[in-house]
Amino acid sequence: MIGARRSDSRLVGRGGFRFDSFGSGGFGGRGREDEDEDEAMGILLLMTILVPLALSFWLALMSGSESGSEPGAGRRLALGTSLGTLAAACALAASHDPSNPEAQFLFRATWMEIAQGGRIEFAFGLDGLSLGMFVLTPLLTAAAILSGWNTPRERSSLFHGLLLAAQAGLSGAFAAQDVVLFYVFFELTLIPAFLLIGMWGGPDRRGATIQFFIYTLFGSLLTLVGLVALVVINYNHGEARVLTFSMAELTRQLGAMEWGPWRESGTIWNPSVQGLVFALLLMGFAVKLPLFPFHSWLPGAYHEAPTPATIVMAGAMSKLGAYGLLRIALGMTPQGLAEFQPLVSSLAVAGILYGALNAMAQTNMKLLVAYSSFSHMGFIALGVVSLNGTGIDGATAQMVNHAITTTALFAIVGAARERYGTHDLEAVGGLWTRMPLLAFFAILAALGSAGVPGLNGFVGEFPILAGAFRTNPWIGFLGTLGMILGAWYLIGMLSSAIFGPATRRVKEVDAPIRWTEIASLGTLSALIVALGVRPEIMFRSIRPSAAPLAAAVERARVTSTIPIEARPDADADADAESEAGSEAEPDAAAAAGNGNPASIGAGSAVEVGAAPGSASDPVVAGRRGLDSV
Amino acid sequence: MNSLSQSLWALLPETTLLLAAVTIMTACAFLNWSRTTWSVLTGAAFGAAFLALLWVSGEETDPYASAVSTDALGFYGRLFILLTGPALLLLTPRDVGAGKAGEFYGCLLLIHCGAMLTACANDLATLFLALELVSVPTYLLLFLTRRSDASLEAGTKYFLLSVFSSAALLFGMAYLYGLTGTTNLRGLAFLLNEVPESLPAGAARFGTIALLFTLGGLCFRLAAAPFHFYAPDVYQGTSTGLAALLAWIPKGVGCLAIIRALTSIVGGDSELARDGMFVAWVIAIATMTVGNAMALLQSNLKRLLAYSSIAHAGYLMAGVAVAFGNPVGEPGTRATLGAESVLTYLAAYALMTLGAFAAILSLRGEGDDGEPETLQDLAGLARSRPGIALGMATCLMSLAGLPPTLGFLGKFQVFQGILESANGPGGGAFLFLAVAMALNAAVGAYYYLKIAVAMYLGEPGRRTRSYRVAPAPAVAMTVCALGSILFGLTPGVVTGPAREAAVAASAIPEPMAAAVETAGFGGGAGSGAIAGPSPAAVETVAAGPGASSTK
Repeated sequence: MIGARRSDSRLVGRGGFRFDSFGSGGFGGRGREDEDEDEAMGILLLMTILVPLALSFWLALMSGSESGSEPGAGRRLALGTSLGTLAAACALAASHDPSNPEAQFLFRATWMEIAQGGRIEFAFGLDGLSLGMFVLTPLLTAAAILSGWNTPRERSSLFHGLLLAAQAGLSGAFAAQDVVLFYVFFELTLIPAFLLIGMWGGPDRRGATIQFFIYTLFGSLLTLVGLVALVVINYNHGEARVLTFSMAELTRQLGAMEWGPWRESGTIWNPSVQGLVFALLLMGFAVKLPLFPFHSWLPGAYHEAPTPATIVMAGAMSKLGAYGLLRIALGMTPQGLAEFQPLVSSLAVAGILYGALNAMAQTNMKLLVAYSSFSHMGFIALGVVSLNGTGIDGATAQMVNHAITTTALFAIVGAARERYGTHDLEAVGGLWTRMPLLAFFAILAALGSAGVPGLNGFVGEFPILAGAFRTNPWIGFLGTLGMILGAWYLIGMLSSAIFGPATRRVKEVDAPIRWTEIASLGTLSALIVALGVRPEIMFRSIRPSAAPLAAAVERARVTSTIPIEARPDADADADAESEAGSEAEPDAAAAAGNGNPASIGAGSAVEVGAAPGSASDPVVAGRRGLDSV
Repeated sequence: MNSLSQSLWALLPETTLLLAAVTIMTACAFLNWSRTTWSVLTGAAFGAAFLALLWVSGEETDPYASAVSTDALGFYGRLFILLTGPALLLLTPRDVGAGKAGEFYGCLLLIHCGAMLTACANDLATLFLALELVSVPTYLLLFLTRRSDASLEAGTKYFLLSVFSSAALLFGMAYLYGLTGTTNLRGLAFLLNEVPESLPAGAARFGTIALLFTLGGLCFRLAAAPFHFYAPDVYQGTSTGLAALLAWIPKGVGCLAIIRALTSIVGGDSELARDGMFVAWVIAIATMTVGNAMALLQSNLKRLLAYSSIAHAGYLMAGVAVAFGNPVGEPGTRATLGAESVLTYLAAYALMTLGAFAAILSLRGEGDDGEPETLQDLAGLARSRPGIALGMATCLMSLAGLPPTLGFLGKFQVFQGILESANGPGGGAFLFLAVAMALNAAVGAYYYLKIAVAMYLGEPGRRTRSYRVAPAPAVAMTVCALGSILFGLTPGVVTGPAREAAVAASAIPEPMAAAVETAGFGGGAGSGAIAGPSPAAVETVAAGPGASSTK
């Protein structure tokens, strides 16, 4: 017992130390009223996440007493909840201060105390990166519920409860300000999706749902290792040596960390510590996104899932991957991202083209939209790894845009399927003649998705491609090619499903468009136009929050050593490191100065033309590159 | 003699259990009471032991003289084992014929007595005694409930391997004694870490042998590779209730013994610790990979859970590898993360495994059909028995390590420990271990998912049985499932005691100055017993080898 007490006193000492260092949170220098208001908003934010979660349990219990043949009160409660949370999210967005890059509306409570004063927190907050998807998540859920208003007939309360649970998980993941909390919500979305596909899906639902679950879990467990590694590295080598799980703290400290191996740069073949951690983090996000070649769960899962589940998965859940990359990989391992950038951007472009070619070959409408969604997710990945502010802004905006257009397209496919009982493009033709309003929505969604100027897809994809061109023209060129292919197959889909002569099946069925469909598709279409015309609504809040990330990755791109202003003796150090490197790996050093961390940054800087001057002296070139930024 | 009476007083809970066991086993020869009566008596004995444990919890024993330790690990370890006692009591009733009930419950009490003694052992001899006190009644239980040739084979297999592992353990312990001249565990820790120069020449080589054999002997109890072969056959051959007992008690006891006898005395940067790290690293990777790979192929529920328990032994060994790297006697830093993660994981493992077995046990088929045996037997359970299915699914979630369950917390802690170690020398190997464990956990999730899919998405076939719910195991299942969720949401309840226990176990208190002078530490010879002035210590030291040889 003596030992235990002795250690306890030390624990307290550590904890107190950490607490002091936390003063630099979000509240610095503001008045008391602001604080109170912020606190109230924080509780509203918490409610937006917890109320749907609680009601989902209620609905699941309700399903036990249900007779089972008709969709009961469950759908109305679920719709009401998602609309209520949407209103709350809009209120939060309205009072969001776009000029403040920090997370706002903070709510924090200790969840779990770990040794050395570390604590995992229930910490939620919103900044420009997460605000868009946070507002959109309840909207998408509402659209999903409306588009499947009459389905399913069996155990409908449970179905809607699971949709709400998915919404809660997604909102929580987007708002989480603690890495463990983020992971918990990230995984929490898995179970509703698994059950939604498995219980109400198409004929091959079992295989599809197992594949989806296992793929995602494989990736996300590796991501968990990466997250824990970040925390541990920060604790052992960070400036303040604190055990923290807070995203803001981790981003700040890991960015400023002086530990040699953390700043050292490697290559894909010989990754540095930061590169390894990035690779671990990437795995989970790549599966969720999905990035080519981690996408093979996607066609099955999207196709077999009932339409509302497909909407939630393609619309919101896939964004978790992109968001995780933005929030965690970009902020905490910029150097690692810079190392793997060629690989990831190639994979993103491969996904864009592969998805587009697959979509062109489909005669099944749902699969076509699924592959189209996959292809367009590639653009978001491309923007995230473009290593410049333009691309990152575009990717953040495109997350919102893609969610809107994909939801609309899947809702239209679901509406057609409900009426004509098929996804076959051949069997559904000439919708224009019977349901002009639905056809109009379809045209708008397809054009928005294809990136026609004036609609929302353009305002996201254009900055992404501009950013990609700046980093590597070839990647940019191939991405543009993917955009053209996208327009091709989407317009192809329109021409056969909407404009062609009405097929027998379409003529026979007389089912006019319902108010639920008008409500959901009308709202989405309005957003498609509004965001296309006034993209500032989004970019206003995105830019300040994305700017620090952009600065971090641009610095990582240009220089691979510790920033020179922080290390006055960088030259001496670089020399010493180059010696150590060449001693350890003579062949690596021989190949284009691989052993010398400084020379790689210089090399890449010269390649993209960011640094004027010759590359004869790698260290000097690296310094010039930095100055030019 | 003060120390001896202190130790005996501190052992009041164990004494209570022992007395109850002896009374029950004697009385059952003369009394023809029903099974229920005996089980109520057993439950009362657990309750009495619980009160006794609370009563003596404030006792302090001399760490260098006493054979038992009442530190935080002793308290919380005993408390937790005692709490799983009633759960096992609820799981086992169907295994007992009325005629054998007394013996059965007596054995159950003895097993818990031994397990609790392991948690608080502070001497190699006590530790060995405690482990045997768990093993011997287990043999009896396996033979008492014999129903078929398969269960006879299972019992024999377990018996032979267990005896073999005990011999290996004893061999390792003898080397530890020979190396240091003491059997007191705190004394061993002091000698190995504070005054390593007092050890005889060639200590490193002897130390490695001691380590290998001790760890090997204990790996049998964890069912860790390469001593895992018995687990699937034994689990399948014996009754489900006993399989639950075998899945939890030996594993818990093995981990506690490893913490007590190895990671709390060997650690840090020494050569011996690096050997330990390496061996545990190899065992961890081999165990989790073998367990998960084999579990993938199973359709029999008990075999599947057996291989799953092997896989979990691998995760526990990963924590042990971390614990070997933690320095001994320097609490307060993150130096006890390894033992802490092992203890947290162990608590999670107990709840989720007992819960899963309880779910199987609470389903009782009609007529001759017993409980479900294969995956197919569970098809469509979510419709026919939603409560049991939900409880089972919760335990499976915890086994798979999904948040927010306790199983996630356990894996999280182990990851944290591994990555903390990845920071030191041999960091790449630890990073590899973390990645291997993550991949293994994903593989593991697949076969847990198969059970969930069968329950929730499976269509009940023509041959699928319908089940009644047995109340007693259902209660145990509910408690375990709720515990897995609630402790996952309020993790401090588990991690706090685990940390305290880990810190206490590896602490090296300052020995009294007189003891140091008498034993002449730093003199270089160091072959004398460490705690000179205390006659009790001399007694225990002398009794150590004596007790071993009579064994």
